[in-house]
Amino acid sequence: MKHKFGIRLVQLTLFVALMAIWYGMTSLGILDPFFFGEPLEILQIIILWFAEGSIFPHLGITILETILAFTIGTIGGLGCGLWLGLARNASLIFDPYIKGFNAMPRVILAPIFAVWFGLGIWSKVCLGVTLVFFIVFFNVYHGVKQVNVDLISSARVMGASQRQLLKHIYLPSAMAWVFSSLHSAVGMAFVGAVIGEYLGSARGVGYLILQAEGVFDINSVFAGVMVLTACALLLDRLVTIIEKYFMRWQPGSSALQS
Amino acid sequence: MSPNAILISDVAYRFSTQDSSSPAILENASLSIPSGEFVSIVGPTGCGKSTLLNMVSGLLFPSSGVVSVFGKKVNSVQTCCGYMFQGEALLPWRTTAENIAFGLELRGVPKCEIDHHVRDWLARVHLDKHGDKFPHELSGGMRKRASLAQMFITNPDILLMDEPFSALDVQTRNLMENQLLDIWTSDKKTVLFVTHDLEEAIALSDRVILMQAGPRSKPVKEFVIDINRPRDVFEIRLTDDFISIHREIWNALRVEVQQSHREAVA
Repeated sequence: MKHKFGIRLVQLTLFVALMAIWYGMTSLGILDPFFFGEPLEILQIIILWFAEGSIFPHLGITILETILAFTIGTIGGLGCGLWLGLARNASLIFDPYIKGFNAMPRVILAPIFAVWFGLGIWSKVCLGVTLVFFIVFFNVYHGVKQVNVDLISSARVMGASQRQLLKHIYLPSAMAWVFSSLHSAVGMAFVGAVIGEYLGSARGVGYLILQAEGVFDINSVFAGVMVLTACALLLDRLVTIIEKYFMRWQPGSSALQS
Repeated sequence: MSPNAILISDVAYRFSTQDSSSPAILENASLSIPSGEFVSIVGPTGCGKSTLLNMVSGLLFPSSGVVSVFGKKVNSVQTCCGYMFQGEALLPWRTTAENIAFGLELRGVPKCEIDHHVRDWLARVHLDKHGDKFPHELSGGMRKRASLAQMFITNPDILLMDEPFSALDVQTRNLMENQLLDIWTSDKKTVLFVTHDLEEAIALSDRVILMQAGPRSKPVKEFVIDINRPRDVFEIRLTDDFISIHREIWNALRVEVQQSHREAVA
């Protein structure tokens, strides 16, 4: 407990020190505040956003897009990963397509999604889904092939049907791989949402940042980036909490607490 | 009805079923095991001991020849068998109690009945206090005891055990062997026990089967272990009977082990 507290203290000190260096550099004129922003003003902007409540509709939209992309992408990745992991022929057929889609720089799809789904949330959700899906998919797909054969044989001799194997063996083992990919997936969902907004939208934190950039309001840009980062950290924390509950059977799961 | 619980007649097994020129793991293998007998199989590495168990359980099928269980040809997975593997076969996401319940759950036994049996088996393998723990929180010996309970709870007619205790340290292994004998003595199931440990084979079995060095392996010799039951695994290995039968089997086994070594080097 004491050790954990010490780590937290050092983390916080490091943050304050970095901010202090930034502040020092810009206020002493070593870095031009016009291009590099000023930490105190950024802080003021953030406080103002939250005090006025003007940030909430934007933040709400971005988080909604993130959560939708994350959920749809994860469920899709899990389902397809299990299916292709278990069905040999299907995986042989789809292999080049999967690899192709994964190799494709998904960001260039954003304008296409905007044309297809309009400037509302669904074009952003779609972009996020294409990013999240493959992370989860590949984890589950490779994981399914590594299920301990003894577990399967043992369950079969105990009388398990194919459906029971899926429910009691493949799905729970797949959850372990899903969770190992969720931390990168949640970040990707966020990236998808913000980039989508950045490329064309009327609301969202990405849109706020784009507006600020348009008028060279560098402090607002940084404020937007910081709010996004804080949100991403919070979402990551949420994933850790859920993970700790579902993965409590895993050795070393208690070591995850940080 | 055939008096044999397991009958293996003139069985061959190849990895590739299409290519009849691929080397056979087993060839002309025959073995019969009467109901209620405890039989161990010993033999050098790679002689197809595990393959034999997999064919009895219906996880694999012979390339030629017939395997039958209680007079019926094996052509699907045999749920009348209990199978215990060398590695871990407990589901890591289930607690000890849930793992022991697994087999009954798969068979759709009502919840209250399962709970009753699970409590009974937790007590029989001395895990009453560990029912809510996950496998990684148990010691190797405890995990094996849970596996034993998991196997016995479905009341299988035949027990197939593939080097189940080989990962344990010697003392724990002997404890487990005694525990297995205790449970076995109460209802005399048919047991087919694969091991590389000759002492274990002799201490537990009614009969020890020696497999020839692979490839094209088959059972070549058998030894009846005429030592009175109940046996205590700790004490038995000091008796004269044990030592003389051990020497006899080892002389035969050594030939096969050397042959297998020559095959491996050649």
